[in-house]
Amino acid sequence: MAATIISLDEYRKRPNDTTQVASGSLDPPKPTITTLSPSEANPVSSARTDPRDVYPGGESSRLGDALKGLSSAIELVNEAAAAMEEDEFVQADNFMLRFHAALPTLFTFRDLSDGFGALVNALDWAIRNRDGVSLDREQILAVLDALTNLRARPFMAFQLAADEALRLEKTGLVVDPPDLSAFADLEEDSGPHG
Amino acid sequence: MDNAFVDTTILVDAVLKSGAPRSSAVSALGRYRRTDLPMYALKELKIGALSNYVWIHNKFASLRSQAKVTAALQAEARTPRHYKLATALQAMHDAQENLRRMPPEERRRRFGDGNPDAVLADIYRLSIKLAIFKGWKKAYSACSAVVNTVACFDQNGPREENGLVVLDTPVCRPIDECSLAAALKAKPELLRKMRDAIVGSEKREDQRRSKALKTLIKRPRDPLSPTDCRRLGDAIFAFFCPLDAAILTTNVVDHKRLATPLGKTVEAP
Repeated sequence: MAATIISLDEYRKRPNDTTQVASGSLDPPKPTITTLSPSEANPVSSARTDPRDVYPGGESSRLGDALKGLSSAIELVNEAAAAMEEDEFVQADNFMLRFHAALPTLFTFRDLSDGFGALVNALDWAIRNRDGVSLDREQILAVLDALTNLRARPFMAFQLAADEALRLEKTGLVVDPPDLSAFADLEEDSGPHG
Repeated sequence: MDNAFVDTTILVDAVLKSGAPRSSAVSALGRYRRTDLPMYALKELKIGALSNYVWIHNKFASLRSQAKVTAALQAEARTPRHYKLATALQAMHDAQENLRRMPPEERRRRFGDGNPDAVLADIYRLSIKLAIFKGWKKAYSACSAVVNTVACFDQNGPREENGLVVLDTPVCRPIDECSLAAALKAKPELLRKMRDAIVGSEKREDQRRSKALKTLIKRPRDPLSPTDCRRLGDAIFAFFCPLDAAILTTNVVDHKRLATPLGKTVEAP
């Protein structure tokens, strides 16, 4: 079938033209609009900010499981912070020990994003590097902030995870494995640039 | 001295390392009224320690196995000059041994049902990646100011590409020659004093530096290449350090040899 050729200027003058030309006719196709009922268009209330509402998959997904894990972790750290307010240091540390024990499970969701994995890993090292010494109030609150931000952004960009880790470090927590430092001292010739 | 002109060794300790080296560097930086970081130190960080981290990260990202990475790096660590790599590997080897000795239920609790070797690799991979990104962010704020701008230095930080971390190369993009060249060539007497201090040294690093200094002195019309700029290394710090500041470094011996003839001071953390 030969194509109908029209000049661009002529084309622009046509009032109702569209980009589609069917069977040699220049009549535009009729647009069809599917109307969604309010429940289809907006299945959840826009007032809610739960990430499970934003990302597809809902409660049964891996994301849902990760968010549940994060919520439980936040609860434990919240309890620790509340205990700290009452000067109940033993209680506070107990909650933090329970939180630390839950981190390996959270780390299994690291495939959600490298930011997620890196921040959970950083929290694990932050507590491990204390060698059993309890976190102070400021550190507990920093952990709580990091978890809350991660729950709001489980697909956290890596740069944001780095910012969160820097905030943890500002409270005196050390978020790196102790043996990493040795890699900084490699002789030039042992790297790829030698 | 009230002011410090901060060397790359201190920068690396403060922004990349943990434990005693970091504490020592950070507390040393806090001792001075003003701490100036020459941009050249950022360049050395990028092509040195940060590049090493990127290299190790990318090994983990490519092999996805702690055991394979350890084996691959061990092959690189067989010569004595790579003993530091061997030290780094020992820690990873210990982690693997701990894993091997761990009771199955403890292993499951810590690593889930996933392959523990892959989990360990991810623990290291993500730790190294985090250290790279936060290290670069910290580098610019570690001191009071970044001074002695190196206009040809590409200040772009690390970025992600296909699961790997990439540092853009070349690190310097001079138009005609290294942007530090004019300042260096304007004071040949200082260059000569530094060269006299190291000429005849058996250290390969000194020999390269001496050669780069000789080119600057004898053939000032030749453009200073990025390679020679890199080889100047410690000489850049001795040359640009203001007289009212001390070069702050963990490598006092090497810096003193270059700085003392110029009447400049070197201090350790």
